[in-house]
Amino acid sequence: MTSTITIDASRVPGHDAGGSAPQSAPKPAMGSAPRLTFGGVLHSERIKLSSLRSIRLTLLITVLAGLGLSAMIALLWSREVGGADAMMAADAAGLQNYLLIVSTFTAPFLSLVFGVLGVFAVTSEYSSGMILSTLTAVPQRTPVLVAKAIVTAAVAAVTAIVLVLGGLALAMAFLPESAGQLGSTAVISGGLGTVAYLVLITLLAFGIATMLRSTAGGVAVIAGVTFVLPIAMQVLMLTGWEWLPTAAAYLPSDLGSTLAAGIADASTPAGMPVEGEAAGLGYWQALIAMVVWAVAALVPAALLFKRRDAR
Amino acid sequence: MIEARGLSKQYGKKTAVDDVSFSIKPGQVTGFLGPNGAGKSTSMRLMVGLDRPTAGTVTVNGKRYADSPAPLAEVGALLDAKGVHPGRSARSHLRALAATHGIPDRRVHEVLEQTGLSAVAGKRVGGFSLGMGQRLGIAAALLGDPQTLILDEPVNGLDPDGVLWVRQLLRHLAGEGRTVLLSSHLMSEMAQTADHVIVLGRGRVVADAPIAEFVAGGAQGERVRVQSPDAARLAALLMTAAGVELDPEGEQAFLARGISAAEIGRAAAAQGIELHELSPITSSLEDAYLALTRGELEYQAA
Repeated sequence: MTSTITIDASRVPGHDAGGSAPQSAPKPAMGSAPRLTFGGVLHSERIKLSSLRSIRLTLLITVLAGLGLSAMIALLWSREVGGADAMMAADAAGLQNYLLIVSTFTAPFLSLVFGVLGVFAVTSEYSSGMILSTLTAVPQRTPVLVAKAIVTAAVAAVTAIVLVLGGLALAMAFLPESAGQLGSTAVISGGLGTVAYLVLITLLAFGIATMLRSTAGGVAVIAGVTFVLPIAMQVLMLTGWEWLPTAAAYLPSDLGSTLAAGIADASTPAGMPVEGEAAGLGYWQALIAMVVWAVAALVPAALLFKRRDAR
Repeated sequence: MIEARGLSKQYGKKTAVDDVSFSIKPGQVTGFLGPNGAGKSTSMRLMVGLDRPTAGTVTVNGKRYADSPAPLAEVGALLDAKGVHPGRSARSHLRALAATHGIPDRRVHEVLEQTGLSAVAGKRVGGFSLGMGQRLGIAAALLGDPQTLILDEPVNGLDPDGVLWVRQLLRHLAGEGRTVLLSSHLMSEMAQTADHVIVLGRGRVVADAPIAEFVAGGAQGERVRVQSPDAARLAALLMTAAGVELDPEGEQAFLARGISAAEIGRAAAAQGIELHELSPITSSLEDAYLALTRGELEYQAA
């Protein structure tokens, strides 16, 4: 259908009239010709994450709360090392356990906070509409997700390192003789394992959030995986199904415990029994399993991120 | 130059853009005109690859936008004034976008200056008015000094000064040979800014013409309003001429089509008929648009 109308063009208001002088813009201060680079996208993601007050605040509270908890644990447990009716002997294994408990005990709780960080890093773009600006600047998309994952993982790693080192420092402050075990395989591997676990749980949450594009959904899923599933498993254990303990050992929270326990020194007796060990899952297996969790979330997330409409 | 060929986009069962083709040329301001839901925003999102077309292609300067080595220098887009995180300052927002292309901070400073946001550059965007948000969106679009600008409802929420500023800016950019596309549902704004209009209705191109032609074009012919105490006699007289149509407006007035005011005046004078009014009725772009999109409206008032 074609409709037609008559109109007098000369009466269209002020089409060319008004003749406002165009401002003579100076040559734009571009420096060299702009070009989209991965380094640039990485820099952009760093600016984005560091310029949000909510993220800075979350991290600050995480560190303060984590170290506060570590201090309390150090206060309580430092009295349980050595002595007549103490829980741990003041030998190498006991001191290693003490150091690990103080510096990594909070990890399971903090994993939810790290998960929320991973979720926020993604969903803050979607809830605000920023994703439209982001993807207009980087229409290839995949570099955005990769850069964002790297920056988020880096922030998680730095935060986790601060927490673990802070925990170790507090542990030594409350029980100076434990300092001698600082360089032991158990303590080093337990500390690094905790950092790895927290970074990987952040990336797991990051992947889930990218697929769901919703803060509430992302937080719900990551809370479910880290807190609800282990409890559900515990309840189901009552059934006596044989495969359950094996499956439970592969849950992120159990993998986290295994990683936090570190690699027991061959020279010293095994440390405290850890849930994951019941199913015979070792440190390295746990690390690989945790990497698989993160990858299993990130790969479909990347495919969807590339293919879907922006928002 | 933006070229769409057979472009379609469906969201679920709903067709937002339906097999449209058009070329948007450099050196002029092209207006996307149409009621809400006509497919203006969707077409723009398809241009910069935010959404995937269901069928067809759209290219910017001969290639897909996503294939550009420097997208921000290719196209500056304002697609949603709310495409900003409210917790970030205007400067941080622009710096983050600029960083992707290695655009220096002094360019960020420059566009803040240009859009009149320097004074509030450090403030959180969450506290911005709609007009300030629009200015920030335009600042972001200008960052890469792009050859092509795609602006969805850029004057929405701007005060009169801001509207005038956007109009001058767009005309200036087009004058430099850039491709400028803006959408609006405000016909008056379009009439004052655009050189060329593409009218969309229900996802289809309803009209695609230079604005003067669009406004003037059509077979309806100029209308003349005539008032005379002797209207009936004059009407009978005019009807003898070929191609003349009359719409009575009461007993002493009618609208004439297919004949000029001068011809009517001459005829009346020759017969000594008294005239009380003889006024050519000029349609506006608004009339043209309304006539075109009548029946194309997505949401008709009941």
